[in-house]
Amino acid sequence: MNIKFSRRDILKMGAVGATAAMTPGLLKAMELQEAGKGADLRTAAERTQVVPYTCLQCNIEDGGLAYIEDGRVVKLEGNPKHPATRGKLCGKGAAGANGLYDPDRILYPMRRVGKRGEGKWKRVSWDEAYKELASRMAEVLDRAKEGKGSPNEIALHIGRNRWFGFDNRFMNALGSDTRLNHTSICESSKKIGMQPTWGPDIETPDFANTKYMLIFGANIYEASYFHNPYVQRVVEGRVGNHAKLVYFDPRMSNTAGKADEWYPIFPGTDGAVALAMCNVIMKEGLHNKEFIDKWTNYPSDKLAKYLEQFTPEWAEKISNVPAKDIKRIAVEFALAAPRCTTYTYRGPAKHTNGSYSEKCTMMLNVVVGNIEQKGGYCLPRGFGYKHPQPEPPAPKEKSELAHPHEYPLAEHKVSHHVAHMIKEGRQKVSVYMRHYFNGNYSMPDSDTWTDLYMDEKLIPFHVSMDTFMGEATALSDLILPETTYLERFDIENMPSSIETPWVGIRQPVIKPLGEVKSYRDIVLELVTQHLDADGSRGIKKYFEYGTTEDYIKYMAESVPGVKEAGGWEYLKKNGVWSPKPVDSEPDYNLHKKDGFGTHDKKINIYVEEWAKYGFNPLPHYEPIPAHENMKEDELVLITFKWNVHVQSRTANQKYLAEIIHNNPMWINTKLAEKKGIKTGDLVRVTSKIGYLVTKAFVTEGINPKVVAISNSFGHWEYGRLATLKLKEKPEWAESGDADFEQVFWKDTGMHPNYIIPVSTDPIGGSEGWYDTVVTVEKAQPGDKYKDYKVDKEAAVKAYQETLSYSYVGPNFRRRAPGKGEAKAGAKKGH
Amino acid sequence: MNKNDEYYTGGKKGAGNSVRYGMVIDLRRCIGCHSCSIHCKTENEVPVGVYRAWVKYVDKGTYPNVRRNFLPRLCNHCEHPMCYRVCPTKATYKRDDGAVLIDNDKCIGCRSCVTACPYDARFINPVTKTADKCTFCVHRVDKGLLPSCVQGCIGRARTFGDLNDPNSEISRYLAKNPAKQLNPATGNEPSVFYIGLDESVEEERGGVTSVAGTQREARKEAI
Amino acid sequence: MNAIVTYNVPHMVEPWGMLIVVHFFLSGLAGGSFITSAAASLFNEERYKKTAIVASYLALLAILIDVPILIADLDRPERFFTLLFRGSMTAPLTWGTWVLIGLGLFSVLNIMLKMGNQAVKGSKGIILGLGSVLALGVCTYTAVALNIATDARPIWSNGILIPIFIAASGITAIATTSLIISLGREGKEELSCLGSTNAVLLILQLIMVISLILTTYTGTPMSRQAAAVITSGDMAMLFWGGLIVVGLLIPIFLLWSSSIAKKEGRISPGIAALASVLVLIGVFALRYIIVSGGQMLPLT
Repeated sequence: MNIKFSRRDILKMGAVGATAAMTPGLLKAMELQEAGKGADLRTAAERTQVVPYTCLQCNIEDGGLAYIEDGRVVKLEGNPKHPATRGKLCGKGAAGANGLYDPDRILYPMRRVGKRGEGKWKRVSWDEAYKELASRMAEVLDRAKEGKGSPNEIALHIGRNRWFGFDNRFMNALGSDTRLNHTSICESSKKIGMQPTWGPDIETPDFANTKYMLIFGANIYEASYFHNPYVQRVVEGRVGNHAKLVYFDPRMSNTAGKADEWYPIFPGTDGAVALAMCNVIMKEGLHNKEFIDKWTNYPSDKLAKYLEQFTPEWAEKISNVPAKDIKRIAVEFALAAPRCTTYTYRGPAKHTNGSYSEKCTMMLNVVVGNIEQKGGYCLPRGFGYKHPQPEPPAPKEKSELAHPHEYPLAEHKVSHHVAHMIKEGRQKVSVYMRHYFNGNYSMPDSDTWTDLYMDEKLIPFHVSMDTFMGEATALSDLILPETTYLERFDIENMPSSIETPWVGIRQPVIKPLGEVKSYRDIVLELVTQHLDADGSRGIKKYFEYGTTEDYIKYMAESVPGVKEAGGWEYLKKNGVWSPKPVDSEPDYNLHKKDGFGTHDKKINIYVEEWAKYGFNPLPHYEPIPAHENMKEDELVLITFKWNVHVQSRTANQKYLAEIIHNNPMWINTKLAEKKGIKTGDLVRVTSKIGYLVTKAFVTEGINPKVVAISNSFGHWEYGRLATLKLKEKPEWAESGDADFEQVFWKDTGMHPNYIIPVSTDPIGGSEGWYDTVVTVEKAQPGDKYKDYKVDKEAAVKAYQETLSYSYVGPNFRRRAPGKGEAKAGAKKGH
Repeated sequence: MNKNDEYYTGGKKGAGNSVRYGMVIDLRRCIGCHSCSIHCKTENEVPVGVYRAWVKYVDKGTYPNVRRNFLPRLCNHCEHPMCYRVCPTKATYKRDDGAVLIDNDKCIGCRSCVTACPYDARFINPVTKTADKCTFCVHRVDKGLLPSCVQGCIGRARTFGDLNDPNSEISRYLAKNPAKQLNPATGNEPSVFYIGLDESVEEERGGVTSVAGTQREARKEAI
Repeated sequence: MNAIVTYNVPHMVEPWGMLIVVHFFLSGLAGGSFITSAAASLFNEERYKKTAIVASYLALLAILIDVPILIADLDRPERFFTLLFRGSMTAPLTWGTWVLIGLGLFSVLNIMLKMGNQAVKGSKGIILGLGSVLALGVCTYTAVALNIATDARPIWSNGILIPIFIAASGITAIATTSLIISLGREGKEELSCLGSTNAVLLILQLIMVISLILTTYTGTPMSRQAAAVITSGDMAMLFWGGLIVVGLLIPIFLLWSSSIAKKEGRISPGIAALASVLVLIGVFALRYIIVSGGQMLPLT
């Protein structure tokens, strides 16, 4: 008998182990051999080659092992040596090779011919591409030297940024401050809520040891930071410790479906619920008085008095969470302290009150004093890196696009305003470079970005460093083909394991396909061979560290302990280094060493800087302006992410797309009945800037005042699979994919971002993704699936309206949330 | 007629030192991430559109008391597999250690086995045009590794091993936790057990509506 | 309980589709024709001469059409010949292969008998007897294939399927033979006997079909759903309209009333032809309902 397994016959394994399986629930360190010779008996085979790498399907940076046979990646598995990943990769990680071998990858540089957006390209050599880009940049720099311009006209817009400071080096060397990002559509308000409060921008809950998990809007079973590592520990905590999981989310995500208690909270009201809970805890005397008095900058009795105004009844009216449950959960949480923890991600943060909300949920931990305790709410553990010297100084002239003056506290920038700001003429842009950023797809009010990219006066020269012909890349002038994460060197670090920090790397697991280059190589070659080949501009001297590999090696070996362990060679062989082994016991009470990362080393319940700009310095619930006068039949539109997809990049990956490939609008059963809508019916969703027509998915699992659409689908570019134009082979594609014959789905979804207006948190600068007020009706006669219309003037009005709520705007002054400590904007039942 | 008959233990359990491979899936630990499904796909080069391993989602309840349950599925490698009995060419056979496998050289594609499986675990591979299903990754197990779905499970919900060995991980796990098989009334005696099985994930045929309605609707993709 | 499957993979919807339905119909025709021919020969060769001859040719014709269809239905049709040297005692398809081949052979022998061939003249009993056994095998192995498949398909697991298939084969064969005779020139006097035999079979079939549906409907919730698909779901029109009314009730009425109404006990060829056509529609509908309808419910 022979089982036809094509290449698995190449498996050569030495000793055959027993057939016992891995013990779930026990954190057993496995016997490991050095990767390359055949890693763990339990999880790997001695194939032709095993190369460790770090995943980048989402942003968790899990450690993986790539199995290579005949120069081809055949399997991706988790790296058992990685302290966060512990040998497991999620479905997206496992499907990583789909993107690597996608037939629609761009493998050589291309230059636009014809009109921008027409879709006509000609292949050029790297030399030609570099020459053109360098000359454009040189033109700006020369003009700036003569005083007729500024280096800030060169813009670099990075979405998924793993440059680890290399972007600073590049742009600072050019003298440009126009480094743009995506964080404001990510979770920036969460960061801004946390950073002035206790220092770092993320927490590390000790899930494996906790007894009570209070999670607000962090869909840990499917996504959020750090889905894979954390959910492993959440499961351990729930099954091993019988920990309770209480979860707040307007929609029944997988986390909600499996939680012990799920509350379909109204969007944007997490802060109110958290404040009411803190109030209950302090009223019942269950708070940790010593902790508050010793480690925070606000005395506990004053805090208790301040919190009195936030009653559970008040919170119930706003949030749809019953008051009796608020009281009960608060008491349960406090009784479980210190082995209790909260966890939040985009749920509370993506609102105009996001920074306040994050602060409020943090307070739950501050009040019970579970900070840095076993089973509690802990600081993130990570490493900083040194960079090869010399490093260029920061540019003198600040960029308004990078730091809009209306948002002084938005340290992580307000990227979703950039298109409007450029259109307003706030800053001239001459050369616009993009990397891992798909502006006219991923941004709210996405059509404004399409208009921006199409406008050759506003964006005279548009350069993409991209792997695929995405929506934004299709509107560019020059495409520099970039590597996927499996083909380049990178340094990595994420606070994803409480047991120990770690240093990870990426390395090319196969030779990069076609002519693709990593972004680090692109910048290096551009500067040293073209833009500043003779060094006369004073830029080259910052790029004389050798190769990209040398650069990464320098950074990696700058972490104490790495060199001793074997340095760069060790990292290439194992993919990761950590000072403590996998599954070690975490250290707690780190704050007792150096205090917290704030100006006074304490937790700032009272944030002076916020008061300076007129915001409320204390934990505060600020109602969302758009929700204050909602009519009876108006609903809130939220977005979400599936566990097998990320926000936009995975729609073309076949093993993921076959599981979920479209995005009908989730609507509550009772509401759908009222409107006569059944699953599969066309519905028209109208916001204040436009409408779209999509399909409905009727479910019991969503708050009846909320509808939800996933923004992972609705691509109109991005390859044959994502657009289901399977027969239209693009000219740069060399082949098809045999699996295209097996594609059984016909719907690629309808993108919601067209009608989501710009709406910004005045403190943290986050886009209010979960604030959009809409009406939903059955589709009108004549409406076809995927119809949409955007009112451009309304979009601009929405932008101006959100500016009016910034600290310099008339609407802000009117609301005056910061007047006095006692005013919480909470009286009179908002 | 051929040596395949030697491999059919006829359901002899615990006879001497015979191994019986089985799997336990602890649904309390399953997070519905599809990692098992995708690991299987990449390990076994399963074409798009067909699945050797997959995860079913069932929502139950009325707002706001709604729950979601996941049911990771694969071939149950039954002790008395009907698929084996109906195969006219003995392409499907059962190894001594319990794994039910398909010899792709013998299969004529009559699909008797596909109709005979009560668990919908079998399909016709669109590339080889023969019957196909989960193989317990015997190519890995024979080398002392775990099946790919077990290795890939983030929640560590799956345990694989020798059900006949009272000291194996899986036997000890089963001894501690009550586990159920799917649809035991068929008498096939599956080797895959579920801990924490909620009635709603199986009851779908007994009064639960499928979003996709009948099988035909499932192909038409209602949503 | 209010439970909904919100995600499942697309399973193989109908492993056995239209080609198999056609095969069931044709195999029933083949087996039933042989038995009809044998019965006609053994009871009264002279009186039912036309029947015996037509049916004998029908049997062979049905098999000659059926076998290519079976081969075409395979996903690896080029491997069909392996069935000749590979087999499993527990696989209905193995049995089916051999009884079909056997019946093919015996139907040739039967035709030779009818043509008066000297070589086979003496073995009439054996040919007809053994051939009928094989024919019965051909009629029923398909039902066994459905029965044995799995207990998880309620419609198929019902024991009454075998008698239903036997009756269906007889009905198909007699109706086709009737149709051919009624359209031909001679033998019309045999139509009434064929008609009354068929009427009896149809009544039996009606009772058995009702039993099948009733026992399935009143079983577990799962089997009720399976029956509901047929009585009120996707198959309802076909079941009530195509099978019960058109395929059973109307032909029963036509055949019964015409066979007792006419004084000579003769049935008009026109009525016979009409009844045959309706019956054939009904039998085909029955095959389709059982094969496709039985697969409509999702398994676990």
